[in-house]
Amino acid sequence: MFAGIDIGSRSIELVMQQDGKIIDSIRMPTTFSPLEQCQKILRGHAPKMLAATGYGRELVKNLELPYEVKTITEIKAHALGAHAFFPEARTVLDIGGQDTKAIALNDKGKVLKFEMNDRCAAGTGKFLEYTATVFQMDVEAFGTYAMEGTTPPVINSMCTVFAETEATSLMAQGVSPSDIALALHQAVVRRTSTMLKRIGLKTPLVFSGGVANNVCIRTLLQQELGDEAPVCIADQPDMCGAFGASLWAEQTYSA
Amino acid sequence: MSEAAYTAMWEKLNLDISAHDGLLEVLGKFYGDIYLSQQNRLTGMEYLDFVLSEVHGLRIKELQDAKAAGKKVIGTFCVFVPEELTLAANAVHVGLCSGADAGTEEAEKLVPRNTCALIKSFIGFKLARICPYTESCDVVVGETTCDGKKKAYEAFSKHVPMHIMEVPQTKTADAKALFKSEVLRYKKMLEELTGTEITVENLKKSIAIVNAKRKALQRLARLRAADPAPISGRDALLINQVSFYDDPERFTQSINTLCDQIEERIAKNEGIAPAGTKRLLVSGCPMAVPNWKLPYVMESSNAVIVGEESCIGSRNVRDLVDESPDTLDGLMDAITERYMKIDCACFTPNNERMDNVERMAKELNADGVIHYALSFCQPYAHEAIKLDTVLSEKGIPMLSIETDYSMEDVEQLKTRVEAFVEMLD
Repeated sequence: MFAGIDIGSRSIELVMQQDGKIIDSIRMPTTFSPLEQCQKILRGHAPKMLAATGYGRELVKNLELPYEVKTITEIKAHALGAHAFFPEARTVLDIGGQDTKAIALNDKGKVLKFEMNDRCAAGTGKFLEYTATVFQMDVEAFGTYAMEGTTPPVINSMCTVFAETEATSLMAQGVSPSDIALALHQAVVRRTSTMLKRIGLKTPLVFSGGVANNVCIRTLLQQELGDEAPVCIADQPDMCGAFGASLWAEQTYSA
Repeated sequence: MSEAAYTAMWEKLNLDISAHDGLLEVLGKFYGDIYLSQQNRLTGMEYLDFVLSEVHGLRIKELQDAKAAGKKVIGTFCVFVPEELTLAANAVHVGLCSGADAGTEEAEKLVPRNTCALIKSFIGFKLARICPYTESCDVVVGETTCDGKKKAYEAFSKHVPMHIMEVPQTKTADAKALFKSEVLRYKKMLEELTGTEITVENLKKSIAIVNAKRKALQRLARLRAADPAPISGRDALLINQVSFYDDPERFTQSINTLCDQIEERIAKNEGIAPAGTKRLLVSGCPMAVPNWKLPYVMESSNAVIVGEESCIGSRNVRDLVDESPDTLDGLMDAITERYMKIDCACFTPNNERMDNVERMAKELNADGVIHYALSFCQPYAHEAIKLDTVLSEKGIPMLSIETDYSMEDVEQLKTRVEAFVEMLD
């Protein structure tokens, strides 16, 4: 069995995989002690090799595990995972806790080009999580709530702090909260589609990462691409990176 | 020289001693982490280690000694200021500090916040009184390259004596004539400042000195085409950085010695990284001391840097001044001709830079190009887009990075650079 671990800013995912089939997948919050969380999530597993990805990928090297540990970037991991789930995929969009990545693939799943946000987490999961608190609701419920919106205003700010200010002043003007919620989701998709255009968007597109669980973002992204090009989403879109890493572990182990 | 004697020298230069001590401490630690930690390093680099350890010490002492002997010190920020003329006038030519965040709050009183880190840095170094080079200068030469710099010099000239050279924006015959008149005006300023007349004889001699320096750096650049790479990109960058403030003849000699060593290393098929390590060309804005962030990130990502297409790199080294003319006017034409070949992004349309990057990538056997632009640097940000199109047509992968001197984005940079290197497999 081969393992892949994706240590993100918000959550850690572990996938155990054999011959391309996911045997086990676990998710835990990253918290403020990611190393302890990694220990917890890996307990009781004995893969032949572990590939770590995500911003905390170097961490697991400190654990002195009884099997080989290597690292790859989340760009490569998501590309491999998306290609395995959807072999036709030519573009991967991953929106995680603090990063957004747009990746162009060739027919073999190799990365041709990618774009990533810089140091600022504008338009990522963090943005939705933060703005959801303005509406006093969990980020999980935020997407469903935003779907109730009908006539959204335009929100221009992609900066989380400015967007909150803009949302607050729209509320003061009497705009309905669900419309504002929808507008905030639209702002994320607008920013994302700029990134996708820069890498030369080709369909089919795989949408991965935790934000792919948000129904409103999914719907808006589909509208952006048009009906002819269905957005591909795996059953567990947040496992895509860890799954890709586990596949890479297998590839390099036998190599 | 003793620690106390250095402190006395710095006090005499009116440096803020505690702030300056802080800077040297950070610089020393940074250098240890990024440079001294390297494996399989060339022994010839000890000279560079020494120069850097004495960058605010022995070299500053040399400048003070030169000044005591009646020499003038000219400070510069740009590769457009002809060093040949400075040396012919028996003056010392030094590049000024601009590679670290210092005195930023003070600098932002003189220039807008959305100004590049390099400009804020040279203003900050002056206002915080921590650059002994700036404080040693009799004149600082500015140039009208980008808008950020030329407007910053207006404010800067209230704090240091300045001479501004007009650099044209195109390469037409009229533009070249304009630049020649600026070269002549610089010559006149130097003659008045130093009391030394620039003659055919002393100018020919100084042209030969600067050409020899450039030839040594060209030789180093060529040797980096070898696989395994014989020298790290960090070390090669440091050499180019040091070329701006070390004594030119001493520098040339030590770089040629280092190149002899590199040749031996290549003959033995040895290198700083194993053969087959992914090779990157870095292209774009200058990296002034101690701006080693991106090279460090790149070389910590299973890659080695094989060239710098930059003002602190090939842009300063590629062209030589024709030594053949026997008249002063002929030599001034030769200088003008050489400096107007510089492919700075301030020029339009500057298509020659695209060709030069492509040629370097091929000659140095680079697997990919990383374009580096300082945040808010309009000219290079524009050319990053242009270069990406040109290189993708030629099948040369490129990653575009925009950053500054702060360390907060190092992890994000690592992910992007590592992913780019993975992509080259």
